Amino acid sequence: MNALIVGGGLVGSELAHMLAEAGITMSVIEQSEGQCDLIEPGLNELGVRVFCGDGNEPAVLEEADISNADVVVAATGDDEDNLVVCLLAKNEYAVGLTLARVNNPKNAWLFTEAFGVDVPVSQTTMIAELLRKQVADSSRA
Amino acid sequence: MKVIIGGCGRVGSMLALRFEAEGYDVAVIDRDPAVLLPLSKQLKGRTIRGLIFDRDALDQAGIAECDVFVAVTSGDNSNVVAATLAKNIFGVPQVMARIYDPRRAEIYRRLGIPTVSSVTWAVNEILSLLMHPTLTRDATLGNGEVSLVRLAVDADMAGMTVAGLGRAGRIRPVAVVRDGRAFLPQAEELIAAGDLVELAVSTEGLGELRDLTKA
Repeated sequence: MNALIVGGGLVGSELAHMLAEAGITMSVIEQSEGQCDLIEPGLNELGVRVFCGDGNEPAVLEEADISNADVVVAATGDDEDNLVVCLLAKNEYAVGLTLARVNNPKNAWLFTEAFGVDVPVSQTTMIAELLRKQVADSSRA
Repeated sequence: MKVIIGGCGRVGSMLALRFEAEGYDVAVIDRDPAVLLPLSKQLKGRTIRGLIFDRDALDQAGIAECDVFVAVTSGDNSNVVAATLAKNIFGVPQVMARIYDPRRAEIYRRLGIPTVSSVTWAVNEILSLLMHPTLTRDATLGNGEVSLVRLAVDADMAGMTVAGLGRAGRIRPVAVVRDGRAFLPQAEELIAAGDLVELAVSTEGLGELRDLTKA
């Protein structure tokens, strides 16, 4: 399986580490050169290719071979950027599966197929769900 | 008719005032209250603080009964996201996104999001003005396939017939302005220094017209 992660911050680069260790072929696109320098040595060791550039730019996505990706993960810290990554991945490059990180829960309603998002991932919502479940369980006990 | 303008920079605020002058009901959204304040003193319509793809801001602006949505913030991605949701989620009949990056503008156009690529437009405009000072583009038709170009006739060109400017299928003289008065010329009309000749020109014809005026 080929995966492409757009956004090599803490979330994106850790994810790349975990997936690479699980044996998935992987590329990461990160915009900041400083961040690229930081993550590249460790990821290269695991066979992950790091592309420095704007992941909303078709030329950069093509350089990272998006057309051959089975999965694209939009993991930047900006919701509009993640939406555009999925929009392009789905509509322009026919990527099978798209996952997008939701940074601001207020924007969660946008992360649907209207923007080519198959699976939205919201940390805040997940923590809230877990807490709600915890509270419900403890009140039942 | 109701129009929502996302982004209150120079383009957004001028659009807002122009739409209002045309009788539209205008609402403007911007994340920066400092740019909304000066406009709110001139505009009767509402100014709303928020991101242009934020649900609350869009609801406040009246997206549900909006006829025209224009996204002109400085962020290409914000503009694309807002225009896409206006079109596909709220079914706004007319949407437009300003995109700086020409390549992306083309892709979004293909995805059904009408875009204006202001960089491409400005570059063409500046080049045509600087490289061909006797020619001025008065209007572009369609997607720019045909332009109305104004030619200022200098001494070198004086004495040509109007028909002599024409090129079948590529350049067609339309009108002449002489001493401030416009008329539709006969083919054999001689042009004089100081005349302004209005020509309909195809993209292929532009090069020929440039050569003609240089000769």
